[in-house]
Amino acid sequence: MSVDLYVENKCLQVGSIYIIGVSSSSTFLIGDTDSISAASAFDTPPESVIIGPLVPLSGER
Amino acid sequence: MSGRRRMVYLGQAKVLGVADSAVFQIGDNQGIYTRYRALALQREVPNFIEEEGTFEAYPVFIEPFPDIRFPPGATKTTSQAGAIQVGSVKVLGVSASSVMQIGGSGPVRMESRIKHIRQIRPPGPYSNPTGTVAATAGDTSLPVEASPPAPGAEARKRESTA
Repeated sequence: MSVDLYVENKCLQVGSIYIIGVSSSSTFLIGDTDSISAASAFDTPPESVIIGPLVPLSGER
Repeated sequence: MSGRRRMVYLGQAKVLGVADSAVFQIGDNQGIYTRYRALALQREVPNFIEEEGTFEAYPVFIEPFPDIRFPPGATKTTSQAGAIQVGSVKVLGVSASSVMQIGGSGPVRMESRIKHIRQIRPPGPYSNPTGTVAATAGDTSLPVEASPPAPGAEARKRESTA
């Protein structure tokens, strides 16, 4: 099996763009690109709620 | 794989803030690779110590992301015709290893890892380091903590250990 991808980039006209925020390794691109590969890990499991004495986080240097 | 890129015509750009290793680029580049790590710590009593915590202590900062690639042996043909025209752009903020670009780009790779921790006191009355007495929900009665540390006590302790 072979994959053959043909992309034809034509004229593009946009009136106006309004964006509140671009953050955490994101990109806002007006133009062409070869490829985009974005990955994000956000960890807030129930265990991350620590009920107990407010001790410092481990690994203090 | 990188063919010709289209021209970009932008009438007006308004960016109010670029912070935390973010980039606002006008023009082409060969590629983008950004990484972002954050320990987001919320405490019921806002008492934060310098140089606290390490990224390596949490698996979310170590585990590799799945490697997604263009299938090997596949061919991609791109033809460019015309241009990109945008009237106006307004962006309030670009932050945290992000990129806003007007122009052509090579391969883009972006990674973000965030660990969110909330530290909450057990139920019962207590006094926090600012000296304010407060109580959390529940009928468990715990002894009230000792008075807050004297001003400069933390700094003196650090000097003696150094």
